[in-house]
Amino acid sequence: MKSSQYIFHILIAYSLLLSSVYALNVDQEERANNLFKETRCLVCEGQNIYESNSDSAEDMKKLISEMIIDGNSDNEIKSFLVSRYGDWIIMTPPINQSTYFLWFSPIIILLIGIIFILRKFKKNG
Amino acid sequence: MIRKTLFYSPLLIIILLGILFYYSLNSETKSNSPLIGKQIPEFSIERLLNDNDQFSSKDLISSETINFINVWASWCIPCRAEHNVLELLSKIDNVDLYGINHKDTKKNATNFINTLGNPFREIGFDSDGRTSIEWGVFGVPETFIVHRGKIIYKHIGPIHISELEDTIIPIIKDLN
Repeated sequence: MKSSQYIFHILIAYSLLLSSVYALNVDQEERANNLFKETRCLVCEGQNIYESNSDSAEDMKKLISEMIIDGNSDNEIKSFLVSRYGDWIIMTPPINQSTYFLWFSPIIILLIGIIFILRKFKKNG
Repeated sequence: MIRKTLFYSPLLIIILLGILFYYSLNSETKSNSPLIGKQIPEFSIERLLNDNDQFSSKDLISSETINFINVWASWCIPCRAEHNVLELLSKIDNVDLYGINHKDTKKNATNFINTLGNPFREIGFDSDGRTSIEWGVFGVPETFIVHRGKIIYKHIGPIHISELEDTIIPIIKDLN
């Protein structure tokens, strides 16, 4: 057997092993991966669980996969995590009263900048 | 003068924004658990030292005393350091201390208790860490104060003797 074929077989065996752990279909796996990317790792600051191999991240991945298999929607899974760990657990901060400033300040600053530049142009022109 | 103020205003705005963002980032910290003030999460796990029945949320809801739930593991070094404080805590009147043994083996957890003593009224054996996620636990040790099935307070990390005296005992006095 050629070595490339050998590696291919190993990869197939590995992916079969992984999929049998969580038993997700292709569609569910895509949802799971998106959720993993949106979930903050509990023990590794600034990283999501998709990127982390820590024990705690693996537990969280397992939980999310099981919740998908149990028929929970993405929103239900996220709200479960938020109910236990707070908004902190979601990588993207939600748009609510306490984050309005965070979301909209760049736009406001950009507008102020544009006004400044336009006035400068008018003066020079 | 006005020109000068205008010249420096972007710098001033940036500094102010920096301060504001810094405080906003720190307002969402691990210790303000969304579970505080809420009913305890539902759970049912096997007991570490007793195979008969399960340790469950019902045990805590039906309790009239002030419940402390300590999440610990035998492999956790700070838990060892905290153990003496837990012994003291468990002797306080009207307080019942419960344990959730987090991602451990029965053998190691039992050895830990046999060597250091057992301050717990009951210990749940959470081998897969699922119950800890239900409680919003980040790592071990963590301790929750529960009164009549409601979470009153959460402490992250080992309880130091000074924290027992300055923070925990006043909460117990308040609840009594």
